[in-house]
Amino acid sequence: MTGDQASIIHVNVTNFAASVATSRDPSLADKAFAIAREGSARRIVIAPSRRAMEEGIHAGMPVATALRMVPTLSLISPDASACAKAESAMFEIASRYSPTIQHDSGGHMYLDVAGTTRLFGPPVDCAVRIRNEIHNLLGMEPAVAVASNKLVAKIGTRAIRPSGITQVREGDEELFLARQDMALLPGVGPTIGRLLAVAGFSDIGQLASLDDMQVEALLGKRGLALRNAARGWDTSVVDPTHLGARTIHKRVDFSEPAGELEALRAAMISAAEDAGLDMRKELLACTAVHITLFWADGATSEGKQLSSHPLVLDAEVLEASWKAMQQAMRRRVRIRAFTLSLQRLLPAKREPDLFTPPGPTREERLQSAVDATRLRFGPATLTHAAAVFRV
Amino acid sequence: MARILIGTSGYSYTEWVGPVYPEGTKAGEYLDRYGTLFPTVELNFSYYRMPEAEQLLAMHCQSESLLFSIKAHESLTHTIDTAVWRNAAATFRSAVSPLQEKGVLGAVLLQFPYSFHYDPDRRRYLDALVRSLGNFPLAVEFRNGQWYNNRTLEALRERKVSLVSLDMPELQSSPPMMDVATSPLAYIRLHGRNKETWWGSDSAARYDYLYSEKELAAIAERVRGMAVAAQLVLVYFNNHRRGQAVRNAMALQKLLALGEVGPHDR
Repeated sequence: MTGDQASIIHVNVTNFAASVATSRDPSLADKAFAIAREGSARRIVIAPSRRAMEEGIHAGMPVATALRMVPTLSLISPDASACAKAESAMFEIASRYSPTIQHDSGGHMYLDVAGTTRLFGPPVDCAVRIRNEIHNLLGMEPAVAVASNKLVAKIGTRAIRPSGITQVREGDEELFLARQDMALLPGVGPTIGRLLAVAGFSDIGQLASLDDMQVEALLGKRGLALRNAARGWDTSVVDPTHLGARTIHKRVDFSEPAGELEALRAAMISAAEDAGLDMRKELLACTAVHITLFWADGATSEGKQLSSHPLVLDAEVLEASWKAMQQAMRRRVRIRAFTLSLQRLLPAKREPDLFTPPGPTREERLQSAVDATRLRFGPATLTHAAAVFRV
Repeated sequence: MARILIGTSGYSYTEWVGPVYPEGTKAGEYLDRYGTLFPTVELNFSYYRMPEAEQLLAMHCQSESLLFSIKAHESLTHTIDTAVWRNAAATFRSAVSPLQEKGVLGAVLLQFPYSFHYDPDRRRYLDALVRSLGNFPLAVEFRNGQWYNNRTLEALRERKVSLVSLDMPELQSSPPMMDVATSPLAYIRLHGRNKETWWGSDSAARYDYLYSEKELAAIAERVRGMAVAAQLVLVYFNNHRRGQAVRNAMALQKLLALGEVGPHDR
């Protein structure tokens, strides 16, 4: 296959932890089993095997439910070390074909192979070889897609999973997306999915065909971003920084050193909201928030909050940020700047809604209105009441 | 690892006398000769003319080592008459059944044209057709890109029907390259990459293409990839003009280090 410009490859090993277990013990290949942690009160399935998937078991399902559905289901504890080794081996294989690799955890990788055609042939040929090497060397069968951007490549692997390979040619994105299931579109989580289903939308193409006014009527102004995604628009680049090492970073510089707690809190809320929005756009969560304060006398201090569960929503990020800031505020000196970093990023376990559409609860309506306004008119136009004290 | 069998789409081309068959070979001897070259063949005449059981059995007797794949008649894929298609399916079924009974049926190929859109009526029709021919190993080729979606793949997996993997010219709105094993049978059709003559010319010009060594090496990787998830991989070259399909098929056999042709290959 030749002649295409699409050069982004997405590699996705479905149910990674279960695939790693199978590759280490091939006798598991035809067995229904699930990866689940021992000991927790409400155990959930982390990753089902392929056979378990065929029986209707899926990630996130309570183990008790899974066992009711498949009484013979075997449970295997996650092996973090084996998963890390497999991740590393996948990265090594991909590194032979491109220096630009975004290695997200959980068996996901994006490669940009633009400019490598003379060395390795067309991107799709490159993708086929990567797929085959992952199978031959690691015993795992990934889904692989080639497209002109990360978003379309991701939908490509979701369309064909658990395994296989596909190529979406440049210019054919809308055609390819048109008939895919709406649930494959990143940003369509349970809430938006229900809303679209009620409106009779089942295919990505139906959302893509709406004009601005129609989208706003259905989903509010923030729906424009989702509609654009449905059209296959994505300008994000392949970021070679390892996901665990990546941060979402915001810096606030005060025009005059700030001494009032209210002003500092207002600025922190604003920064946390902006960072949270950036994080959710990439369908990520974080488990650490880091604050660095830059004092007027040149000194710095730091505060950090770690979370045992992924932080996704604004309220969660705000709470952790404020605790981190309080840790850092050990002095009675004015502050000239601070940075807020969302760290230890990881893919959101369940598909998060990109935004909260207008819903039945007051909180949902409020969140939607806030997000819609900030996306439409810029982050500075609307923020938490406390933020108005920001200088 | 799956068994991989390589052949061509059709075998009965007078222009192959010389480049493929020895000079002087008569039409009635083509299949004998072909059987010495490849372990499988895709029969295409059945698209234009409804096949008959005696005719197919005679072909089997002529070359007993061959595994046959057979393209469904046009009345089932291109010129569908809702009033009579079930009769056509029954006729086709009874013609092909003896090949299956003899253990020499590779697959029935259902090739749908671009005009076969992904709409409810056609989806219902496909479901009914698959049920009607359900006893045969089936492979479906769509020329309309709308079908290449997750729901189609799930439906094919449920029914254990193979999605045909294609290699063809990269033209706007043509089907995407998609190698996904939806059944234990993987079916690959290689149409050549002649962009200039794909539309608005006859089939001889459309399939006038010779894959290069580099292209064949990449195709070999695709075949190996399909062999991971399938039990049987059937590969057919359709670039039949001047016997180019034969040259390419032989080269691919060599690349994949496939053995000599014989009954054991089935």
